[in-house]
Amino acid sequence: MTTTEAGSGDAPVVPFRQFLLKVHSLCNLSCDYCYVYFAADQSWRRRPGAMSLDIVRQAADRIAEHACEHRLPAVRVILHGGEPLLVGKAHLGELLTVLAERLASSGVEVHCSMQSNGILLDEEFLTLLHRHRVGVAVSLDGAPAAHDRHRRFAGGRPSHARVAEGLRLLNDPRHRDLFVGLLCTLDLANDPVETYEALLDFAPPRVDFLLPHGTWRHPPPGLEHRTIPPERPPAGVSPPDEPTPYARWLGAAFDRWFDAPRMETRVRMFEEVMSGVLGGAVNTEAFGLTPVDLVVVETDGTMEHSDSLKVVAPGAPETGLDVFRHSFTEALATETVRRRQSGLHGLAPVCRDCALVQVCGGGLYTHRHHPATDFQNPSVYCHDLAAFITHVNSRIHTELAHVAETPPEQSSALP
Amino acid sequence: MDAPQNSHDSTRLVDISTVPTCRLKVVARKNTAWGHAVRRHLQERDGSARTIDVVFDSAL
Repeated sequence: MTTTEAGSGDAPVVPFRQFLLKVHSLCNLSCDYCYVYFAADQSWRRRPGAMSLDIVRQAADRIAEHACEHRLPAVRVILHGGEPLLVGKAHLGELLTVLAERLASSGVEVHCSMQSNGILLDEEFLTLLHRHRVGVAVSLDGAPAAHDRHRRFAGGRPSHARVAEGLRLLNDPRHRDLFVGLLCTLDLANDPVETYEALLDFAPPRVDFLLPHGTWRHPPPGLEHRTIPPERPPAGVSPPDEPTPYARWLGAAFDRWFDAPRMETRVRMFEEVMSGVLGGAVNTEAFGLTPVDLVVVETDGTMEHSDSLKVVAPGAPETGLDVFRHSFTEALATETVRRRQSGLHGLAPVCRDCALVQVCGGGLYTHRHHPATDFQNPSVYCHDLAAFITHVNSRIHTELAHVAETPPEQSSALP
Repeated sequence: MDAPQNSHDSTRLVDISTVPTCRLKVVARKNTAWGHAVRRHLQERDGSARTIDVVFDSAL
């Protein structure tokens, strides 16, 4: 569903369908790669710890207003932080009740989920989340050594054992239906296959791999030399002197997942890249050209763009709007949202000329930033994305050739 | 004659439309990553796939 009431430019406006509520701005872990606390934007320091019920009510009313205005049948609400469970059981219960009551009156269907570090998950929390049908996704970076490389408590204690405890509880048959999946931030120091298999130990219904955040000004680990955006699209294979360690990592994990004799879990990044290679939709923020449809509400009620922008500069995610004085439709008219909803038109010329652009989509918006040219660049991961997509394309090409060459009588005898 | 068009040029994406649907349906029945991908492709092609939100990078 698109509308043209808000914003400017040629692209139709896509309403927000996902509302990410920062219900707590602090965290009980101190992961050294965290974009909330250890990046350029330090706005968490001036924000209230927890989102008050007044702000929850106002946010819920604004969501209902937006859903009615744009005739949305369903919306997604994501509880996020910091660590959302730090709000405590009583406040979480009240918060979820307020959300349910306010949104029920609008008639919109609400799908609610939470992104947690898993440390505080216990029986009471899970019972509460069950009552309100809140799905739970947990951040886990792999086996203990891999996970604890970055994900530690403030005093330096490792966190894997505590997360594993929470995940075992979440996997209990009484709660298993709440388990959404695992979010894993990639580290080149961790073995890709071991990492993937360590995630499988918790039988996640879904996994996603995240690239560490970086920009052309602050390139990610292992790509420190990448400070100047390319002037030409990658030619399918990277220049011989251009290392693509992230593509190699992802390619190894992809092959392990792809070659399994049965589907062990869904892997969002891999599925979306495969869909894009086959000419289909790419429904993820980090790839593809689908318009962004998510807005963030901070603990103080301010509306923001995706919070990964915190790595770009102080204030980079800000919209200047808040749920008390502004509607979400007003946020649709901001330059950032308009650019992120304009598909190919919103990308740098070098991306528009690239054969892989329908799949890659220029990469995550945050990763395109350069101080001189703003977001009009390919991703700092450009060569890695191209090499990975080319790898997936090659694997699919082989499979398709096999399908095409297998006589129908033989292929129909397959299980 | 059914060979998919790829790829003297490795940046050129595959063309699944050259493969007969009946053969793709056999693959789509398999519970593998490839089977799921083909099933999704067929569902999107015939319009039966549910629209999915763009998933936010920092949450599942």
